[in-house]
Amino acid sequence: MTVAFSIYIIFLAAGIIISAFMVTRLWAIRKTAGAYQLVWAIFCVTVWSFGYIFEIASESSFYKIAWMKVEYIGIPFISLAIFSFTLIYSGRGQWLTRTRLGLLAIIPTVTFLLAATNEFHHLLWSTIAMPSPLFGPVAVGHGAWYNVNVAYSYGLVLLATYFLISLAASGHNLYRSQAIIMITGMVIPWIGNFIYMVGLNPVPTLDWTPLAFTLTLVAFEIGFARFGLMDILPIAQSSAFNAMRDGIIVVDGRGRIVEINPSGQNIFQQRADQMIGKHVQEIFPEWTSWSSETATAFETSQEFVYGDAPAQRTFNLRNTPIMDRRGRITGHMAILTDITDQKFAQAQMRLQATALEAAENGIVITDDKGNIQWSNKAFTHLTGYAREEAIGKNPRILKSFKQPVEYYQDLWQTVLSGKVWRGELINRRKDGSDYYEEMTITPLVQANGAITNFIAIKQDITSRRMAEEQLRQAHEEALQANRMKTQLLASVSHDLRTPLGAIMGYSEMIQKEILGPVNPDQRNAASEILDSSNQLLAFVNNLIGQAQIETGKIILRPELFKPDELVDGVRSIVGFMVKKKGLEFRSEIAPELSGQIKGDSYWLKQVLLNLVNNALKFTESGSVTVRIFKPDGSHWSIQVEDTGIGIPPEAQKTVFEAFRQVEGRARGGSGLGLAIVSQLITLMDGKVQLESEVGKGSAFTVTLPLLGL
Amino acid sequence: MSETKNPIALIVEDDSKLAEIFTQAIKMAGYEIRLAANAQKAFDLLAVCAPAIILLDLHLPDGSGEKILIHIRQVDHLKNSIVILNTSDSIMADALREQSDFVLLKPVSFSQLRDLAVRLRPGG
Repeated sequence: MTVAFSIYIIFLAAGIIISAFMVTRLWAIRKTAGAYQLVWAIFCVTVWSFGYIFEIASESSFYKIAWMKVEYIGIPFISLAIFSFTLIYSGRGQWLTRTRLGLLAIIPTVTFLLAATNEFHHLLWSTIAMPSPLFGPVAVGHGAWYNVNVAYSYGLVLLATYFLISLAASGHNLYRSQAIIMITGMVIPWIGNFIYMVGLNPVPTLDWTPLAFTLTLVAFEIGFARFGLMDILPIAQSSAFNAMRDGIIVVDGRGRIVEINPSGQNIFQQRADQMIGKHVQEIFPEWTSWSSETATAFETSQEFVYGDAPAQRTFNLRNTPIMDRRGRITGHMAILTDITDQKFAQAQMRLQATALEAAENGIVITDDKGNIQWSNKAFTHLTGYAREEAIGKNPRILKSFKQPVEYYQDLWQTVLSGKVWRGELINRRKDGSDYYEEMTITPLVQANGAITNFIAIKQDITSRRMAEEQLRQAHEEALQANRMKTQLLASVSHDLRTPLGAIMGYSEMIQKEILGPVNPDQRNAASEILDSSNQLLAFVNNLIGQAQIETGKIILRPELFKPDELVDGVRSIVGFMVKKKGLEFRSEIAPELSGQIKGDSYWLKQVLLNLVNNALKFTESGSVTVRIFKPDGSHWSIQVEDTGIGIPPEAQKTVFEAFRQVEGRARGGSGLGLAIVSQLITLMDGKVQLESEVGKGSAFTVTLPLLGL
Repeated sequence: MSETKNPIALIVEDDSKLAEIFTQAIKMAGYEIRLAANAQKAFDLLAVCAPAIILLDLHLPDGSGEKILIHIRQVDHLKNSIVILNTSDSIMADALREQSDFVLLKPVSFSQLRDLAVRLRPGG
């Protein structure tokens, strides 16, 4: 027996050393939930083992009993420490409040106190029998409280075993194997206890329990520490699972739903208890990869749409096989990520990209240095550079060098200061041809003021510019033509007047017999020449007048003149024609105007001559009457009335238009005479009125303001 | 022959036909005619005589008659000369109207010129 006790002491001492080693290991991971409880349990067992060594080894009954009492510092609390550890480890730690722990500690505390004071009441140990020889354990009889303590301890250890089993049944593979190791450790004291109970103990007085508990705690420690995953406790994993924003569904190998997290329940709008146990096909037929047997397809992903139109969402489904430790697939997990917003944003971006690409305007995006990062199709069309060629290059490849350096400097200064630049550029295409473009450059300015990109929008305005250029040229040509016309008229005027001067001068000299006597026929011929010359001269004067009016060069020079001289001047010009046509030329000048009138006599004579020439042209018999009178206190009038063919009402409006003749009134003439009259009179602030009746005659009345003397 | 009763009229005209007509008209009015077909000749003649009337064409082959008009207005011995501008350019005529005595727009009627010359004859 002595040998057996000695060996047992060695076992106990070894257990203490192992415990010390375990504590040092646990110290490193003491922040993990349950670590303190495990250390507490190890402490209690170690105290028991320590006390038991000395109980056996002591050679005096006093010391043996004293060491038995020391053992009870640990013994009553072992089950509470193990219970607390498994409670926390299996995720139920929140149940263990200070109060509950305090209540649970009442029985062990009482046990400890009763052990310390047993000789006064014998409630724990009813009898104490010393071994003989004294080297060996003390044999005790069980008092009433002893059984309370045993029942209490069995109860807590049973609960602890239950916690571990439920953890092993529901947890993840990794935790399951941890739990199994711990359960194995838990079984050891039960076996020891069973042996003790059925009397198979080889050394009947020896208590194997401290050794059994040491082995239990070794198993606990291994299970707790060996996987190195102390930071992720099952509870933490569970919290993560529940807190995930992604929906998670787990199915077993047959496709039955075994777990679904709250986000998953939200997606399918059903509670977990409505779904768990059902086949995945009932709830979620879109998940087709749940039955995949290939472990290589570790993560497959697919997209699916769930729900009806307004609340429709798009999910990305990632399928992950769940494998046991041997790598066999035991189930699948689906992670459902809501990608509706992401898809929408992507679609928006695609739409924007498509719009930029399809835009009619050339669009270029550059980096902050101006190097092209992107360009669209219209840019290629505009410049001839394909996107691949343009990317990485500076837009200065388009420079035509037709605009001053300062223009580009201004452009860069504007955009580098963060402002938008707008302007026109002459650029050069890849093929070397130039084109005009209208461009807007917008710098992209970040919140900190840094410019990251420039966006240039270009519009081809070549055709517009060409049209403008053509218009400008046409305008220039028209101005040139007008200048030439004026020039031509001036030359015509000079070149016509000089020979006319000779013709008229010699005709008059013949007519007046300056050059010698002429017969009546010769004199008449000279008069005809003079008359025709006068017609020609009137036309030339009208042409010049028209040109001067058109070019704004006419100058009116009002001066005093005698109305009868005006009329006589015209009479002398038309006299031969009047006589030849057998007409009567009458003039009636109002007495109050017979003195002097103020006006431009040169152009007034032209007006009167034109009106009289017009009247004579369309009058075959009767008379042409010139009247000068005052229609009211502030005006004077010249009226030319004829007894000719008259002007039809519909033509009366157009007679004053240049180069136009009333149909049926074509009598040779430019149609310029009346137009000049109208324009001259307008310039003189007067007006022309026409009264006419077909077959009876016409009366043109010019009314002018009376100018101060 | 240096003594002459008739006043002198200077005709400055490059066109020979017009010059003949003007000569006839003004001679009929009782003037002694000096004829200049260009500006140089006109300056030469003006240096040696003081015409009563000067019929001045503005359009001359060797320059503008305007220079002659300005010269006449600046030279003391020509201060009594009457200048009749004779031109086909009405704009030019307008511009020089103030510096001349009469402006005739071409073509000038033979009898009109003769009558004017008669009217302007000194003492006549």
